[in-house]
Amino acid sequence: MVFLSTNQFNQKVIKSARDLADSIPTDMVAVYIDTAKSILLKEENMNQLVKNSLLAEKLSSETITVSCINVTKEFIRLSDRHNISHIVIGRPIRPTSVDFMYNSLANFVLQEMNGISVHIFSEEKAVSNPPAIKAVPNKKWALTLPKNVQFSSFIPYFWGLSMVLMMSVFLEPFKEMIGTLNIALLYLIPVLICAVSWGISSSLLAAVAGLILFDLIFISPFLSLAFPGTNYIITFIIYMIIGLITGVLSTELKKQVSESQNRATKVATLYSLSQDIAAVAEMDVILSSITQKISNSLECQALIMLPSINNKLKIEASSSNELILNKEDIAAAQWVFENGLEAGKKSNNKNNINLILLPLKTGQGIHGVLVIKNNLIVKEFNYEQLSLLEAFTGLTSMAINRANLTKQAGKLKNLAESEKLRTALLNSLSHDLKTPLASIIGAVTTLIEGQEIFSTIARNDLLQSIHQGALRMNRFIGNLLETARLESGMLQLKKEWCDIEDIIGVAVSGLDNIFKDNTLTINIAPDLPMISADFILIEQVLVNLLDNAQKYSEPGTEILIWANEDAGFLLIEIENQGQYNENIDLKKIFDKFYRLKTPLQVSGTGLGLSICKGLVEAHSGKIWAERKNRDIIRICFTLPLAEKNFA
Amino acid sequence: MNKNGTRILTVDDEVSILKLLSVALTGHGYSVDEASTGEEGIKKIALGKYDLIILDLGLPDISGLEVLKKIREWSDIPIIILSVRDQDDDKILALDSGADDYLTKPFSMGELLARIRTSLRHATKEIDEPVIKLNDLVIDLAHRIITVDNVEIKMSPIEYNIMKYLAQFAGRVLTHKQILNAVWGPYCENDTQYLRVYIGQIRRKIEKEPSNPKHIITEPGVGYRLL
Repeated sequence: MVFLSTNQFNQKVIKSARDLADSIPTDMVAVYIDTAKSILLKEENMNQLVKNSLLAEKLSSETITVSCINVTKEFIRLSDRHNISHIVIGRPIRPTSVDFMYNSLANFVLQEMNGISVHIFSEEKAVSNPPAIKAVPNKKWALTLPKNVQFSSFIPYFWGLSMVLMMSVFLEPFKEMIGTLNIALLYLIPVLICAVSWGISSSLLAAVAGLILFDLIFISPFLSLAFPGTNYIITFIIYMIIGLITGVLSTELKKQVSESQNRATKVATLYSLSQDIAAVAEMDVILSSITQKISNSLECQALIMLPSINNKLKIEASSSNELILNKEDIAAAQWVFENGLEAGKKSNNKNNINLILLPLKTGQGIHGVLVIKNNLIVKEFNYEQLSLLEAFTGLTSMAINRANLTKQAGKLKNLAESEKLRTALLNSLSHDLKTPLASIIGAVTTLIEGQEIFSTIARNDLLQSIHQGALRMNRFIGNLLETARLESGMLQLKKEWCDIEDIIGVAVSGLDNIFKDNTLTINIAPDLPMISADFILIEQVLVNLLDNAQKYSEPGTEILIWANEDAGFLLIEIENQGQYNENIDLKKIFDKFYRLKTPLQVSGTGLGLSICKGLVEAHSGKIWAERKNRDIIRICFTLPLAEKNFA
Repeated sequence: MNKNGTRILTVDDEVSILKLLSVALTGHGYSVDEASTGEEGIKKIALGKYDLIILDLGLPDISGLEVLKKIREWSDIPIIILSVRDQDDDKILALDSGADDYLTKPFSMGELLARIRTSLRHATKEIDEPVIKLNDLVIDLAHRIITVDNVEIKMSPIEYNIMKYLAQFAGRVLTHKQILNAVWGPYCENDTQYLRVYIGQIRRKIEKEPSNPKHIITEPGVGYRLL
């Protein structure tokens, strides 16, 4: 495990760690422990840290950033998790006054962790320190006020002074009762309050003011600044120290809280963005969501460009309509897209980055470009924002990739489906037309050839088979036509008021001769209302269902029909008994060309039920199948009842 | 019925159909003439004397409907029309315009022969028969009694009128419009739902299996036929 830090020497450390790892041989893990004090870092240190991280990423198998407050606890956790056997710590040249603070982790490891070797790489004094990098403490106390701590100027001092004054005025009458010692202690209170609320400077002011007033009021001679006595001097020195410590602590604490909140916000933003992206599949929704989020969290303007014709980039989403790119910018974006490298454009003044162009890439290639436009007035992005931007970029690339792949998959699926259908159709046509035709031609030619040979009975048989064959073809062609009509959307319903009993009657009489092996039982509820439907089409549905029922029925079994009113619908059910397989998908039977595998010899195209489905649904009804038990299947369909009825 | 000399004119542009009809009908004792266009058909009817016309709706020059209307201007000769499935509207129009019956291709010869017989029978009737016997169903128009298996069936006036009208044209198809016109009058020609309700009621009274009627046959989309 090698620890990353913010100085340049760290680079050497990382490289040495790699050499060590290779020599053992073992894996290298690079760790940066972020103690939430990273906000105290100056920009150049942050940049150095980033450089170090990049190097570490290249050289190690894993780079981890952990944020915590307790360094040693985190270290224990990490070393357990990754089975660390060696630690590499760098020790750059630092002023000796602060050097002692840095050995704490190394010491801790040496003392507490058995079985782990510690390697400390010291920087030789001969190596010249690049003047730009200072060894800034990144662990313990900062001895200088953090520059980015801003307080509104005079209010704290005002409060501090007034508290002290108030206290003095209040306590004056009681000085005999309370005693000077306690009063001295009481002056600590404003110091503490100032330290906690406003920081070091106002607490120092409160301490000094307290001292002066204490001297004035409570120490004789009263109302004169006499030397109060060494013990009180010590007391006040203690006050100042306490004020200082509390002030620093509270500032630290506030910083950490704000840092955690920032972190939490960052995580929340990323989470919500990734949720948005994950849930939605449409490209344009994703893109506009992303540009909005980026714009909101980073306070900039964002737009996404994706390749269109000729691989030229086109703006697909933008966080604001006022964001325009000039020709130069678009050319730069094209360059970024083609080369897969980041680019940025600085504005004229002050090194503020005006435009950032980021390639959106995944393992599958470069999908587009993310353009970030920063306002000139606002400072350049800091480390936190840059890492957030990086995360956004990664998410965006993945989202675009995913949307593209989903579209592709959809197209392929459609293609496969229509291929399947076409093949099934061709197979069906070929077989189901040729078979009856074969029997017709066969029988006819037989009759032609042998006019005198055959008896009347034999001739009749042949003629019957010609008839049956022709009927089969007729039915099949009818099915094909019906399917074609349904598919083409050319189906026009001629709705009129129909009596379902009538329709059932017509359907049954049309199929009269096929029910010779089965008994047909018709149960129609009395006083059923009329339905508004196309008579001929519903007749077709019943014909197909009855034909189907008969085809799959065991000879000698019963076929049942029911017609009832059910919750505003007309419910018709047709039940038959046959030898059915264990697992039949009761939804699939309504697919085109689907045929059940049963021991019975079943002819037909597999189109019948799919036509029924199409026709029933054209009437805004529903059709489904139920399995009553192993052998009995019931097909049910509903037709909506109109409001008026004429019973 | 004396079939000898019964002359039928077949009008169809399909040669195979004409041939089929010719062979079949001649075999059953009719004498058959052919025409393959509407004009030819009309000319032949004007010049010759036929007892029945079999007319295809889908003719190349003028529509079968036009031919029908032209013929009906001066002749009551029975006309049976042949149609294909998608010509439903034309079929109904033809029946309402005076055609006696229809057949949808592909048709069975047995049915055609039956309809020819029915149409001829109705055409040659001099006097209306007072009693119409259809197996178990007997309709006595003179006494206004309807019996099934010799059991009288009580009918409401409207039901009886429907039965009477159907019986007068027994065996022949009657469109909804024709029935409604005859029973309710010309202003109710489009209220088919009433007709359906009454037919349902009548069936429950006279049919052995109302859901599988043998007497009042529904001609889908067209009308009813009493057999």
